[in-house]
Amino acid sequence: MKNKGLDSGLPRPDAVAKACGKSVYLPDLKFPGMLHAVVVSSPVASGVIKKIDISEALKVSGVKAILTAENAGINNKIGMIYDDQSLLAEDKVRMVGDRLALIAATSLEAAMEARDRMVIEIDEMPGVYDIRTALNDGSPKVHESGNLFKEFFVKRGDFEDAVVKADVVIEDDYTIGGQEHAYLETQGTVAFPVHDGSYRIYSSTQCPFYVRFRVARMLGIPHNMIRVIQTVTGGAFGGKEDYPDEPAMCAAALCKATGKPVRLVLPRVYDMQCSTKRHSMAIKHKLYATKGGKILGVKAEILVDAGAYAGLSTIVAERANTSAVGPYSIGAVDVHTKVIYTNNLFGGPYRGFGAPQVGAVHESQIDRLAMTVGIDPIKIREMNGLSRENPVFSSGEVLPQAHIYQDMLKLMKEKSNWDDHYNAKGKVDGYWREGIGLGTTIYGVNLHWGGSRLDRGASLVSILNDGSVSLAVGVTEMGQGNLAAMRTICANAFGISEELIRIEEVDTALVPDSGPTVASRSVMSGGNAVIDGVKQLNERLCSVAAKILKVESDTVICRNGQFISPKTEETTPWKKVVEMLYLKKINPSAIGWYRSEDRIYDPETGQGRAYAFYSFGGHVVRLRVDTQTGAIDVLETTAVHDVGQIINLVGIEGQVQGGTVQGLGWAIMEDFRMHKGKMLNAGFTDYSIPSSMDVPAVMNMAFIEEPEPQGPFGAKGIGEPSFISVGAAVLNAVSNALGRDISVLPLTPEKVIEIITEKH
Amino acid sequence: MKKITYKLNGEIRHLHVEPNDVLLDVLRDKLGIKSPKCGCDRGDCGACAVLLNGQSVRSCLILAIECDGMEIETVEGIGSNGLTRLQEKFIELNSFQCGYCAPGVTISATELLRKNPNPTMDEVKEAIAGNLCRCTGYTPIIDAVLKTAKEGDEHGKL
Repeated sequence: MKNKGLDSGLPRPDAVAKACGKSVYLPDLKFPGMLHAVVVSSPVASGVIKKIDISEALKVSGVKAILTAENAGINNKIGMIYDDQSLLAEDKVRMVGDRLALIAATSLEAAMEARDRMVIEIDEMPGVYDIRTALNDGSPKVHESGNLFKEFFVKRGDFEDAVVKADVVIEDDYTIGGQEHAYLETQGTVAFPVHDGSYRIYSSTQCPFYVRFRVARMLGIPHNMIRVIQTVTGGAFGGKEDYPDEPAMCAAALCKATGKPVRLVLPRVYDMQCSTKRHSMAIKHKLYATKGGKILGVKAEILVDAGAYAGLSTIVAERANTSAVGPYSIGAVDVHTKVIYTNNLFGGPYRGFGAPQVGAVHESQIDRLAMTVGIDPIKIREMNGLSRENPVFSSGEVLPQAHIYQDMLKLMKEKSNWDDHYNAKGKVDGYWREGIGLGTTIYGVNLHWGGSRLDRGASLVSILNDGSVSLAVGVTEMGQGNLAAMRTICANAFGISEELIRIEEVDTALVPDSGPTVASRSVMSGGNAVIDGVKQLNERLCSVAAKILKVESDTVICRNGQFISPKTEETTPWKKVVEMLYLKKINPSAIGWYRSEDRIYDPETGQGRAYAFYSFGGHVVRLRVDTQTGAIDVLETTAVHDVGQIINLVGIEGQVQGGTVQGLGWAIMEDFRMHKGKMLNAGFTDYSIPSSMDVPAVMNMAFIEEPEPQGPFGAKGIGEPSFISVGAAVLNAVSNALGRDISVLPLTPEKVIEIITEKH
Repeated sequence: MKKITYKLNGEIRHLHVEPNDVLLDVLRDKLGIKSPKCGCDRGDCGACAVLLNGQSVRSCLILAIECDGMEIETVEGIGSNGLTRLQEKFIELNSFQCGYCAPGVTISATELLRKNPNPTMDEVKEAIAGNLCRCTGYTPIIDAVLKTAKEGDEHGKL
């Protein structure tokens, strides 16, 4: 069966402008009198500030303002959730890149010259760089309160009983690396002073409502004095969830000080060093199972390297915590997740939100169990995985679509020719060893219970005099295809052509706060909000159409741009009904709203409804390893995803192709080389991401389209699941090729050679 | 300041540049050509690629003054007579997501198809190997270039 979306096949709304190089990104904006900003930042990760002298820098011609914590006149505490972070460092620095001063000048050159003339003295102090020893007595403290910032738990079933009954214990301590988002457009913002004392902020961001809240709080003015307009955003992947607020606050502070528009675009190397990253994690994981391969219990301890500030690390950790067991139905669970302060890179949201790291571990563990008890890796997942018979997730929820996991395994097996390749494992060709591995995941689409107060979405749907429709939503386009999806949902909800609809970029003055565009929730929250808005308008349109058709209003429907009375089979066109709507002075606009259902969850035990609903995803990776150089050559990938109703097929394929390659980058190529909190390989010269030469020759995709009742037209989300299980599949495939247990990602050539030469 | 001349997208343009002005900045800030993007400012990402006398170069690595008397082509020029076939294929196959890499990719792929109208998949991959894209996994870009070549007729591939 050929997969098909609800879309009409029109190119995405932004396709032509992007293909012609006409889209206006943040760095393309220019305003008369606009100043250019630079950040003066700490070169060391831990230290006490002794001196910040701006007097020489102020003498540079063209410099209009230099702000430090002393003279900025702002609310300097800017933490996203917890007040542990300052816009401008006060007495201590805690990470490389902590801001010491902000400079605005008439040219970038002048601002940079001023930066070079700043006199900065910092006494370097011992820092915390190793997450495994960060909690030891005597470890330096990143903040006075200590390095253990927050904990999360899953406690389920009789764990002691599982330990007693187990025949087999599989145990290891994994080290899973972080990742740089490497969006092609770096972070940037323009703060523009409006004549009434308010500010307009242009931002390359996923979450304009976050920008509004944090800039307003920093300036100490009401939210309605800040209007945030999202510019065309050159990639995000989680990196533009909360971090864009920081450059926005910098520019806004300088804008306030100078009364001029201020642009701040982060240089690539600074962006890589300072902006948020996928968290590095250290994960101890223990499986207790019978000799028949039935898992009785899972114990996990997850150490999350938050870096120096909480940011959104607790929210990421919450998902890692809930995801730690994987898509399995296991009676006894004991998960303990610790969010830890260090002086390393700033941990934050990144596609998958903690699930890829724990996913690599639970998938490696179940493979090791399969090897130990002599069962095929797919078979052991069939036995332990969620299913119609065993639908209870580790949160204690009974999942109504648990059976999809089993359907997915079948498809993965078939599409990857698993049996043929698995039986040929370790195939030798000179120095090359071939291997195959799989990874599977369960993903809570939408925000975790802990963040569910933000689980809302808004739209503004307006029918204009000529019958065209103007649509605004609160969820953002960052490349993933949101504009196309929202337009398709709107057209289908109305029963009109997509060509009648134009969709706006997100502007906080147009729509109510829709929460963040994260957690693969844009289709669900934005789409449901669009449907709600259209529903309100349809009631009005149908009552007008009914009068024209001389029938009862509740019998009229709109299909293909015609209002139809199914009884009389008479029709009247959309345009005529809209004309009548205007003649009768009926409100042609509606604010659509979506909110997720309230849920009950106990954070002490991790039991309850963690997410609104779930989707499953899986990858099979077939690769070969060069045992001389450690290089990995990916031959074939197979991705199977449970997506509900497809809204836009090319869009969903694009997410899967892009997510797979980004996942291969994380698993194979992308490695932070760190020294005392400094990223030694910041910049694309030394931090390599996949190029066209790294694309596997064969990339298979398959979709399971069982509708999700809570999704718009039955759709789920795909952005993050498309990434999550790639790393697990790579880890297992390399393990399969080499016949070695592997407990580390990424598998760079150096790591592979280490594994090969390790003594057993 | 030195006065120099470019043939920019078919038009003769005279301008004054400093010896240390970089071509990317001059195009964007002095000549109003915004399609070349700055992604890394050190020649790694390819977002700033332009055609200099028909050859793709990273405009962030070239001094503006070095290009005196040369012909410069950007996406603004390539698409000045309506969409090229290549651009049509990019649109049809959803080749771009965030689109920030698109101008650079278009430059590299255009150069390839002008020089080699029937490239193999490996040749396409090689031609765009210097253009980083974080969104798409490259497949829909590669497919669009191959499809453009395959469907070209006597009027040319582009």
